[in-house]
Amino acid sequence: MKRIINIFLHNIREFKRNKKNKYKIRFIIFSIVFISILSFGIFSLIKSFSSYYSKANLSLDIQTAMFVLDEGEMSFNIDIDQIIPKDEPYIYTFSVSNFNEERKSDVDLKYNLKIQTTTNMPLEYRLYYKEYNLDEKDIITRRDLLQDEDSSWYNLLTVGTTYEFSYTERTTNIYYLVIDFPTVYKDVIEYSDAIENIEVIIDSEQIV
Amino acid sequence: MKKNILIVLVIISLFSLYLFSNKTYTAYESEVDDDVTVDIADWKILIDDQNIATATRDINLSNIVWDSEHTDNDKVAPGSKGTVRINIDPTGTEVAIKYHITYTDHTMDPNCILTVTSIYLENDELQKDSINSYSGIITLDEMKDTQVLVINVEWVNDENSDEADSQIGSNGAEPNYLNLEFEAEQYRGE
Repeated sequence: MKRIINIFLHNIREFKRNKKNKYKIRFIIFSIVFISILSFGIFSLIKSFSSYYSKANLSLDIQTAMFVLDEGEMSFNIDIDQIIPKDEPYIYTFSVSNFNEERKSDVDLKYNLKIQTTTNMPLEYRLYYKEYNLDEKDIITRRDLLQDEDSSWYNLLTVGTTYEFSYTERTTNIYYLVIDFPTVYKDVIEYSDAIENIEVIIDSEQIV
Repeated sequence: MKKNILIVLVIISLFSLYLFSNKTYTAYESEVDDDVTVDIADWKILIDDQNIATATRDINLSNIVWDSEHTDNDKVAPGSKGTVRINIDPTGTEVAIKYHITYTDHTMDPNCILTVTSIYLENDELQKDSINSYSGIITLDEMKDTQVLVINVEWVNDENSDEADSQIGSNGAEPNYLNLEFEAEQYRGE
């Protein structure tokens, strides 16, 4: 067996040594490859044309739910012409709704309130929800005096309650911002050119 | 030498012919006499009552039910889960069908809002071929009735996308929800 293999290998070597045979080998290999590719191509062609085939592009008819939170006048300035020290408080109202002129919110949502003010005037702030009377409680739960990046001082008043709106109905929440300017400052001249800026900040999100 | 080459080529040709004959089906048999009559099998598939066999169609699907506790049920918002139902009517077809559902959803393209969670035909979950493709077979026995394809989708609530989602919910612009493609071909067995 070993002898037969050696003879076979010897014949192959001899065959390859001859330059002419090298060209013949290349031609044979090329012919094999070419016919194989041709066969495969014809076979694939016949196979691809012999089947039914259909296609459709599908799109979805979807409406996006709208997130609507409407806030009425959230930022206003008070100057000394509008407000003077007195015993009776000044009352400002603002509202928060889950609808506007065009549409209503399609999702349940919740929000928190904060009030940020400058410290140019010695005003005192209280906030009431739905109505303002002596029986109602001030809903501000935290009062901080802070500095911003420009080192300016400001008041941050935080309401501890989270309010919710249901998408099933149009709802408006009304708040009463009560501002006291004590009479003890009646004769203080340094506030004669003062302006106080008051801003209501609402953080809202969808209830998932 | 030429004679040897010729012999080799003949052998290869014979082998190729063998391959041909091994793979073709003899589905129909006709007796050729004076007159030759061949019945051609019908191919007709309706997707939501639209025949896709005559041309590639763009079909707008409207049978979608959303399930979300805190959202209007006719609409979609982050956290919504929905079911899309597609009626496939193969009753006009006389060959078995292999079909593929291919989609581009949020996992493939972040600009798409929805994510496909599963696809069923009637109550059977389809085989997933790849990351975004399912396939199934409708046999000749199943041709008698309309089949309902159910695609479950979800708008996944991702806090990292809150800003982008809020833009969609505020400005009213319609985003790209999901791209779906349905392909059907004659099924001739494995």
